[in-house]
Amino acid sequence: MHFKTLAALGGLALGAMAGPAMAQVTLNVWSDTPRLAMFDLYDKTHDNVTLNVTTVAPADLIAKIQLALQAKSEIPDVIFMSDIGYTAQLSTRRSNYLMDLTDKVPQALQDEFYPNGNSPCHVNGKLLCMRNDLAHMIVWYDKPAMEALGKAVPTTWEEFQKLGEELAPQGLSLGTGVEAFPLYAMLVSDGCDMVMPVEGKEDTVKIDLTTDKCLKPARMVDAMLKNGSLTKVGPFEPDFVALAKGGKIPLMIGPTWFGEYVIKPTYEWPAGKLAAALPLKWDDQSQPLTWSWGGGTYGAWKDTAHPAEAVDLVTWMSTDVANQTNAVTLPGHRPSAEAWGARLASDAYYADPNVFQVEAEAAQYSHPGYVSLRFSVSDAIAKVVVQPLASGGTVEGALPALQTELTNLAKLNGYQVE
Amino acid sequence: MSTRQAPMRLNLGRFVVFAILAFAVCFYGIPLLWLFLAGTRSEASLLTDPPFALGTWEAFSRTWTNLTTYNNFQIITWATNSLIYSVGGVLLSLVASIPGGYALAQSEFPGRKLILTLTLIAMITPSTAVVLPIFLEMNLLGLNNTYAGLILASGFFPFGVYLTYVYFSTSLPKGVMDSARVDGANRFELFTRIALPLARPIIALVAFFSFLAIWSNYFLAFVLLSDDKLYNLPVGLTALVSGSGALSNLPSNDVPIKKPEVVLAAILVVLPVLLIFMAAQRFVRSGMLSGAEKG
Repeated sequence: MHFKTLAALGGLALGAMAGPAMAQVTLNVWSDTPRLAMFDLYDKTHDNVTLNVTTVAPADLIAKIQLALQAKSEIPDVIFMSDIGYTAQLSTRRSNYLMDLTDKVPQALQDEFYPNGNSPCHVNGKLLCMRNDLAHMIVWYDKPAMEALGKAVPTTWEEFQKLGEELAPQGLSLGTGVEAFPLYAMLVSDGCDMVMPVEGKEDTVKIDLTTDKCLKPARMVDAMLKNGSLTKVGPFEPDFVALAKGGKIPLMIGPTWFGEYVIKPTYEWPAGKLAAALPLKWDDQSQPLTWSWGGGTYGAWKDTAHPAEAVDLVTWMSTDVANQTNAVTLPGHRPSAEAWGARLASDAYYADPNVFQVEAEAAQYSHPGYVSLRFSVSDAIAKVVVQPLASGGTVEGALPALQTELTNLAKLNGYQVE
Repeated sequence: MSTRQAPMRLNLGRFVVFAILAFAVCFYGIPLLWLFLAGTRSEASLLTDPPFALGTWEAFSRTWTNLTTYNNFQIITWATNSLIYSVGGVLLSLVASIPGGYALAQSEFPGRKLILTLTLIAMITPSTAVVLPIFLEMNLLGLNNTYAGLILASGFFPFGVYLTYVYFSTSLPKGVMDSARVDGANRFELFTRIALPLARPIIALVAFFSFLAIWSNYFLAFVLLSDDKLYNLPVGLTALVSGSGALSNLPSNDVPIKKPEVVLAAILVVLPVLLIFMAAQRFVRSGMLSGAEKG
């Protein structure tokens, strides 16, 4: 930083002789820990901007912003949001923080994102943030194990259920049936209206869990939990880890980051086993519809004193190829993702060099309903569906209660429910 | 000459007492034992080995390095900040509590009962209830995000005033004070030369409780501080742990803070309190018993 100050002073001196100097701007940034290196890179590569980066606990971000807005001081110019719900929570009348980027980010650049990649950033027709990384669900599997079992990797949910039935008697299962996010992903895989935004109507959502599009996946999960082909423990619980380490889970549904950050370090699958396949579809669907588990976003303060620089920082963080090439997770920006994916092709850990191609193709099928809401649907699923499962309940049996819970939450948070 | 101790007989009453004590030791000690053992284990060991398995030196060493060296030894900055807030807050609370409690115990003045009642009310009011007003007050004074702001807010310790009041009301012999008065001591001299030297146990007790409250204070520091260079240990470690996703099942990053580092961070927060309690145990115990018997 001292060097930059000297450089800025030098620039001022030269500017006095040779014309107007580029103004030195300081932006206050609130980041989580993993994004620090990326902000640092921006700081180093932009002479006219100095970043004052503060690490904020992701879970505390909303409360901290509200305090800063209340105090009218220390308000950050740019933030990283690790939860897609934060965009909606920071664009309310009382917590009106986020800048509308719709006209500030060129449409051509917005179009460089994967389909629906920026869905969590669109709130009531406005682009309020830019997506950092994608986290859609794909199929992860143990390639040698599947070959030894003589089984093909399923492409439909019907085949997935059948495979589970065949493998369960051998003590094998196909992942968890009780973790909120995978359960959520399965429940909306056929287009179930589980808090889906209604196009053209502001703050309006559709909640209808009584249709066959919800009942069909719910019955599948119930059947698979009953015959043991889905476990009744979550993917981070010791019992599940023991099963995964012991080769008892040859295939599972998981987000794109599962391979690198769960299966490799926690389940400790050795090199040459892990491969990926496209998300599953139902027989009557023409293509898969895949939900996501994570993916952060960048936003800027609408009243910042340096709007141009703040927009530039948000844009650079989410779309600069050189920066995103070294990102920890799959970038939402397609050119960045393609540069990022090259390293997976040469990674000997994977049994299949096409893991990135699978992830990229799967991104085409991202669910358009993966948007920012002012309340957490996954928390409601954990409370109303997952907890009763432990005491012998069923997913199908919990859907009416979930419908009530979600409707109440939506109304409480100011949504019109259809 | 030899003395013979009476043999200890195990009757039913004694058995019940020992059984309750053994239960208490297990109930409260086992989590602590687990915590200290877990600090030596790797992520894989925490997930798959038995709960009380002992880890390895290598695993502990790696965890220690990951935690302490992360982000240019940031944890050292937070620990130093915690020390500054704690020492400053304890000193301020002592400066306010000891004379305050003494004045309430030894003097009769208008409004004394009201102040005592207000002290009691402040004592039983949950600290979280006053955090926002304190935040707005500090903001008005421009003291948010400063060492002085958090120290000033932490120095408010009504429990210390009340403890001191009870001590000076019950344990300070009236005759000693009267003699000093007869010898010509003024009010200030009575406090500094007579009361203070006799008040060491209560000073230690107030300092201990005040340190305990400030060292582990999360919410007040969370609200008053937004600059991570000024965080104390609880707020800083929460930011680190939360950001790494080690406990939130979103570990999609390369931050070397995983479950073993979280366990070690918990030990680092608890350890100073344990050590200070053990070192100050004699003073704390005598302070707590002071006033139990009027003499």
